[in-house]
Amino acid sequence: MWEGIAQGLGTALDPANLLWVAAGCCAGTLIGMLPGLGPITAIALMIPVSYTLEPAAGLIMMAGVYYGAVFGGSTSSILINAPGVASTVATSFDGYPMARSGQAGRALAIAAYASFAGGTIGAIALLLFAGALASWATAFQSPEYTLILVFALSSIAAFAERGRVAKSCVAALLGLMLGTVGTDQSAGVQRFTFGRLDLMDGISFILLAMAVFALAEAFHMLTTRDRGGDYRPATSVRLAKGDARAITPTVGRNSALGFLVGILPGAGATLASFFAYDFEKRFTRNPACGIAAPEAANNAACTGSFVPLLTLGIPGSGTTAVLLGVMLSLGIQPGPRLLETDPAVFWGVIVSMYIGNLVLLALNLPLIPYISRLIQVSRPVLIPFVAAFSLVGVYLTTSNAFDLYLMLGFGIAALILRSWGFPLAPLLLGFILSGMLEENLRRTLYLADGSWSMLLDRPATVLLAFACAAIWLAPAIRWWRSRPAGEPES
Amino acid sequence: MNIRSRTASVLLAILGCAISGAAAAERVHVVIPVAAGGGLDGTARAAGRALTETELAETVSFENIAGAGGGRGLSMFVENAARFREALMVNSTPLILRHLQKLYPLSFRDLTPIVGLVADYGIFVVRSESTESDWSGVVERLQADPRGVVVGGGSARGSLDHIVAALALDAAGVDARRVRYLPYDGGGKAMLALLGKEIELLSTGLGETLPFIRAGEVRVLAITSPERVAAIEHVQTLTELGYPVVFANWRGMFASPAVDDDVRERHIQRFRTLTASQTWRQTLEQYGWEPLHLFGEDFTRYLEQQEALLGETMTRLGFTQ
Amino acid sequence: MTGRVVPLGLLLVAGIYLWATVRIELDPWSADELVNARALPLFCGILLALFATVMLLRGLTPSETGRRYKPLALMSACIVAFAALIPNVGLWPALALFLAVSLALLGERRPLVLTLAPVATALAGWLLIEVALGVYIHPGAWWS
Repeated sequence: MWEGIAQGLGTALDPANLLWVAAGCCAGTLIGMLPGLGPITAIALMIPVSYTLEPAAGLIMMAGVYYGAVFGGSTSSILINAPGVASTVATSFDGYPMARSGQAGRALAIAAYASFAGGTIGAIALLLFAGALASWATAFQSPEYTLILVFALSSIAAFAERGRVAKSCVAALLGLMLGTVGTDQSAGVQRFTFGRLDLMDGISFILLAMAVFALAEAFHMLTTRDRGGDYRPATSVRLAKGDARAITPTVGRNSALGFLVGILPGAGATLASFFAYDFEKRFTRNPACGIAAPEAANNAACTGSFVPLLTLGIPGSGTTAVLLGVMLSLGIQPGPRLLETDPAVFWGVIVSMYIGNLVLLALNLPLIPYISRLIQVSRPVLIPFVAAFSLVGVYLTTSNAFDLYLMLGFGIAALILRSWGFPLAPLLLGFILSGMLEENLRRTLYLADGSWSMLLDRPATVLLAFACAAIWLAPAIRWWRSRPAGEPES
Repeated sequence: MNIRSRTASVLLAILGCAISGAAAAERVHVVIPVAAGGGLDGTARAAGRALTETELAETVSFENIAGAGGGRGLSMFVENAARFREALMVNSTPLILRHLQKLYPLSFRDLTPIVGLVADYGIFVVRSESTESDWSGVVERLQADPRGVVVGGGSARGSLDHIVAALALDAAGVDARRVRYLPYDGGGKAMLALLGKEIELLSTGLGETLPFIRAGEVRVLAITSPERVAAIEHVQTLTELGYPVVFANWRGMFASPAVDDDVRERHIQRFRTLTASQTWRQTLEQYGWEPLHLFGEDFTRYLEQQEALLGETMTRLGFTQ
Repeated sequence: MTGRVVPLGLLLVAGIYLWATVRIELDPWSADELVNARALPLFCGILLALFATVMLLRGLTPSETGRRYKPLALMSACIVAFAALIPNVGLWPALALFLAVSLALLGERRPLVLTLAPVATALAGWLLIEVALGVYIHPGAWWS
């Protein structure tokens, strides 16, 4: 293995490859920041460029585009509450309020450092354990997925502040319901399309996220009186005192968590970021940790998703599926034999990820003061631009004007729900998990001929079932413990 | 392609919409009815690249009109005949399937078939350590108990992978409708389920499985091609095994229903030249695609035959309502 | 009184959803399934109806009041116009128009901001997305 790594180091440090990893990272971050263009589009758009390169250089560049786009995706999430990809939704929970309180620079800096650390730790883990962890991906089958998704759904408990449990549940239910619109993944039947072609593919994530977060936020600003600016002037453009110390353990544990979850095909990075946020919020109220945790996790997960891609040749997500197509067209055959047939490519890509993360950090940090100043404009200017950003972002993904009407409807509905104290994060979480949960549950039950026992007769499922129980019991125990002090639950 | 020539091509494309005419033969516009990044999208873009490399087209532009499982792009292509008069649309077997399932009213008869480019044959695979070594063993077990083998595939129940499995098993006298079929969200996840022992038999396409076959992780029991395929020469076809079932998931190009005869001829000629070229042979090899290479009328007849075969089987087995 | 409006709305959503749920056409194989295409929607719909009923009986208190709805109506009209214009004039001209009109409606009066910002944004978008990244976007029915 070590000679392989040395060989990879040689490939990665080749001046031309260094140039391409930097180019890929730059392009990825820039495209990732644009509305509606996530990692999938970023990679698809860079395909023509990759054809002109050597296989190793091409793949190194495309990997740079991928994690660069994940890196850049958090920017719009933090600045204007517009998460362009599912894995940055959790970043907006604490990131956007921090940006509004005049600390956009601090929030972006935390995100950049956490992303860097997550990506780097992920790359090291990939280097050391890639081969060993391949079986982890096949160990998870439908029963395990069903329970891990139930577990993820349980994390709405983290968003349910005191007195808002019922409202959180309603929001999650609405999300689950929206997720059922369109062609049923298992049986192929039409559900809730009301005969409209536009609804047959279901509601896209980016449409819902832009509508209930970004557009509803613009509507909120529009309908409330201006109390001296929504964004206070930037007071900081870097980490606050104590941030570094506070987020170090957070980043460490959530990178590990993110990497492990990221290996699982499916919504690796998204699940990882929600788990990380939920997990951190149980220990601390520090918003710095609330940003660092999901950012470290989603970047580590993005690296983790290379495990099944490189070692098994199985794409776990839409993005890695496109990447697989790129690899095939470059003449690289990922899979168990890649290590033997193309060791320089295999290790070169992994080592270049480490370099790529350095490039991303060096690229992003100097830009933060300028980017965070973008939102320091007056309200009448900011609102149309936020609305336009989210609308154009959605239109670019489908070029269907119907989606914009749908967005307007969801935006207004979200504004009403918000005015009545319904949290919207559980809605999005329910929506993301809906399809996968149903599909895996149905497969599990179909395999067991309708018996529910299959959910509990495998070692991993029992463990996950305990975890689900614990996630609901923990708040109850904490509440019981804090009672004698006579303080309300925080 | 460098930035400057791309700028020029975009400018040209925009201007071209206003003054469509003489020079249009050099520019090819391809409508892709799915989102960027999928398999069909890849086929269209690879074919487009081959066209520019062989200088059969000056530039090729791609427009993804996703939605309704391809139905939205299809209906826009047919309804806006004037806008797409000279354009091409890429499509594949689901065009026929979804029409038969009445998911959309339009069929290939509303388009002008130009070329059937590539074929992806259905294959049936097991894990390499599986005790099943040949197709007849699986068939015998299923004949005795249709629910005895769990079959999986990368599409919903009643869709492509399920139908191919049903076609093959029906020909072997198995009660195909009662066979247990587990749907997965894409062939990759279905492959993971096979490797993770959740399913025993996987119904999938040759193209995306080739890496696993070469790595020795899975074993192919049968293929739905008319003759043996070079990439896996040791695998017997269903026809050889005594079950005359031939099925290919084709990918091809269509022109608008309003296309002029000379434009149609030019398109067909363009692809005739392309498919004979060295560049195209390399493309096929690179992606592991099998050639189909049917043009114009031949392609139409092929589609009619496939529709008849699928329609008859699907009605008989209760796949359509 | 107003505390009943949202629960009523949710109840209505649950009602329509359940009505559509029982009308889902099942596929032939769903007879083998314990959880079929209707099961999860049925579960969600009923649960939502229950929550909505409890909220209806207990009433809700708003967390934010005193919204001004006139700007929202104007903005919504702008968005509808934007969506209706795109297929005809193309994305980028529609975007410039949308920005200019909504800036003016929200009280922006500097002529330079009103004219230059929308045009510059649309131009930058076109350059970035169509020219640099090579994404094809239909230019609009009126121009072709």
